[in-house]
Amino acid sequence: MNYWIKRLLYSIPLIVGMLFVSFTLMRLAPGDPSTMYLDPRMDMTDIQQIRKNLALDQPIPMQFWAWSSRAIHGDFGYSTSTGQPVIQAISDRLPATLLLSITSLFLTLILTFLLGLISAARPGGKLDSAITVVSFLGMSIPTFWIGLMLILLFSVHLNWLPSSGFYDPTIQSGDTFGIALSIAQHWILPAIACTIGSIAGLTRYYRFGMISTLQQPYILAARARGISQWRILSRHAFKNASLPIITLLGMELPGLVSGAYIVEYIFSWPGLGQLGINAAFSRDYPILMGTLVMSSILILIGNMAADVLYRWADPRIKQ
Amino acid sequence: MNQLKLICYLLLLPIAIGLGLSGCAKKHNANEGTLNLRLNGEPNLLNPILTTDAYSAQVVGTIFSGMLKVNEKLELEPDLAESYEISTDGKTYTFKLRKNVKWHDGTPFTADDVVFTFSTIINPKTNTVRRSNYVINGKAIRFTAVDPHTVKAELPEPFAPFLLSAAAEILPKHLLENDDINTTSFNRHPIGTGPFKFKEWKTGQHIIVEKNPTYYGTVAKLDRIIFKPIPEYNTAKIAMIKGDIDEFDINPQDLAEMQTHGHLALYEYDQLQYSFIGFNLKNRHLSDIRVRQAIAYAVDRKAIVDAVLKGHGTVADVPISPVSWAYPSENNITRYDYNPKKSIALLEEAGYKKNASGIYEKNGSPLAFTIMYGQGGKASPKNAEIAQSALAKVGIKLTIVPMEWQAFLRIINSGKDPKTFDLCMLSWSLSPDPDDYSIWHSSEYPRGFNFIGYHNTKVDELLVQGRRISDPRQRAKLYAESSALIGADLPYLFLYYPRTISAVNKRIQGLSKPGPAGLFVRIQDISTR
Repeated sequence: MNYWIKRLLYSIPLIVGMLFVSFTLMRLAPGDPSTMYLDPRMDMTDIQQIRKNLALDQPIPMQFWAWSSRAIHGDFGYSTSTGQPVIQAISDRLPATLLLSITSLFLTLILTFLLGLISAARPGGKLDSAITVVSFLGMSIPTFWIGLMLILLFSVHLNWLPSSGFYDPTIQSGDTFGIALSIAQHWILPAIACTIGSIAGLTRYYRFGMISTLQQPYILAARARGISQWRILSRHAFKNASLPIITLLGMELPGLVSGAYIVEYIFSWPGLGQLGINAAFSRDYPILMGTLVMSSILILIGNMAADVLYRWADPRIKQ
Repeated sequence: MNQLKLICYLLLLPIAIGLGLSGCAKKHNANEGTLNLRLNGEPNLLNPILTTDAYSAQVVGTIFSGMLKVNEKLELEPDLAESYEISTDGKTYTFKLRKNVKWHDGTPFTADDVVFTFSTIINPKTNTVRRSNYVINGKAIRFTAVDPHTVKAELPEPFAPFLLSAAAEILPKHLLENDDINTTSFNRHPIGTGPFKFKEWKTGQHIIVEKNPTYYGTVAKLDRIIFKPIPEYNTAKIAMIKGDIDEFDINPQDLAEMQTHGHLALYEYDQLQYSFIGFNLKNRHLSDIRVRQAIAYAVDRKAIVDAVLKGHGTVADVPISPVSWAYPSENNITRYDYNPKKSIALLEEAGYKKNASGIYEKNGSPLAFTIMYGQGGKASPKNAEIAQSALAKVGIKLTIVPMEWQAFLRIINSGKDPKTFDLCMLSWSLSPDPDDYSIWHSSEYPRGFNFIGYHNTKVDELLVQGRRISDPRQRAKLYAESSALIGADLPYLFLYYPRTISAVNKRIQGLSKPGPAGLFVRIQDISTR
């Protein structure tokens, strides 16, 4: 237990440092929230005034100090482009992001393990080759294109699914079941697009982990004992082959909330990816810092979770 | 391996269920009385004095109204004001307001709301880019409520473009006087006086406005408008084809495809906009008009319109849109039609000689320029490439430098003299008022939008006069003259006026005459079939 407390304490200066560096880097990029507009009807003095109102004329360390002393009390400020509280801007978009990212991560994992197993069961076999070809295709086809093709096929030609959005706004707001059903329909295509994008690479990792595990002497010993192939794969090799995947997943955790910008953009999915990208382009510092805080914490949690899972997968790893 | 199969089936199950459910979900016939409009992005906020993006403005226009409004002919007509008077010295504007106008929450609208709105804009604490519209030479315009239905605006000096600024949408004082206007929750739950009432805003999904049955003008025929932010062009195109949205501005390349869909009507109209390549007039070469003329003659702008806009645009030679009421008459416009021979002749006349690498030079300094533009638009890279190859043919070297938008703005807005660019490509969206003082007046350099450093004393004079005279006919003459003078001076290589091609679902009726103000100017007249 002591170990975890120590790790948590160590991570505090780490987060502060991370945020300060990001804050500074962000400010080194040209422009600021007041310079977004180039409208001949506007006067430069207006921009100066807005800069002053937003305290952008202060030195960067001062601004960081002001920001962090408020943030420590849970006040992350207001978006400079929408005037909305940062917490609310993020929480407005969090549900859609989580729905898409968690379900597609879940799908990705199941399919990865499944395809990796099938591939590794008979490396070089017909199924393995097929999966290899498909996963290379999946890796090389841009998500952007996959998304549009999915829309063309399922929405335009077959007319089974809606092309974009989160749910049909004509459904009465009291009709919870109707809304849920509509969200489910709108969710399918983006989820497939997200999954295809991430499954391909992971499958390659898992296949490789599995094949090298299957060459270990203890697997040979298990085979010699007459244990079935399925049992060897699922009970003996599964955990050991998962180690690289666990590392990768630990790193992917922040991705759960950063949102999948391209997929969101194509399917008009109301997630955090669009918020973050728009904030970066419009130099919306409060929003950027808010999302940074969130992902820094998640990186931390992701690393810790990876450690826990490591121990489960490989009991030899001790403190 | 049976378990494997089982898992496969389990995985396919939710997809199958989803597909099955979507099959039996009946299509709501809720579309009647509903107009579905695409927004190219998520609006920032729904407060008319703070908005800076076109998407917000699109929604705000249905919820709020101003004392005046711009009609299809880009003229101002009474709205919340019944009438207005301008004093003979052009310094006092008196607006008579409509009686019996109510805010969407039932509170009566009065002159106090008008005064509140304008004083909030003028208040330096408000983060608005509109303040300077109400400040003339450092002095703010004074708004006073003479009685509950009369507003007086006193200007420090005559300023004709003020009338357009007076058309700004009005905010309710009773809901906002105690709030911080920059962060108030009103900005996401607006109450206005317009033909539609705000109903809901689901972030990133939709904004719904509903008919205002107690509207002071003609009550809308539509029951509601659903605004859907769909940032991606192709997704929006599919939504248009499927009937999920009712209006969509298409790329010229897609025109033929859209014509094959029987349920779509297509409209084409001019915008108040032009694209240009700006010359840094402080550059040693570009300060010579003959070099600028040589560049203008070398670039076939008709070919650019044909290639980049597929012909859906017009070559521009003056800084004012042909749909503006102050557009100069054709014989006053200096045209620089494609003529590479003339281009070479001009360079040689100016004392330039071809060097070993085929580039014209003078005193050892070659005509090698960079052209920068802010990334994002589809047209800019194509325009730049065409200009590059055209100039190469006559012996001028052009290097293309695409930049991130903010980095681009930093160079343009630097406030330094001289600025560190040679050529830059940009578009101006113009206001219905032809006043373009901030772009061309010499006092707007180096700080201001005259970033190329243009200076013509006669133009300066005309621009000042145009602001002081309130008679539109006289102003039209002044601006026609200044535009023609600027065009002849060639401070920009004016490229083109792009045209908008709009696809509208044929179930939508009552569109206004296609024009720069769009097809939904009279939103109350729109109905569904």
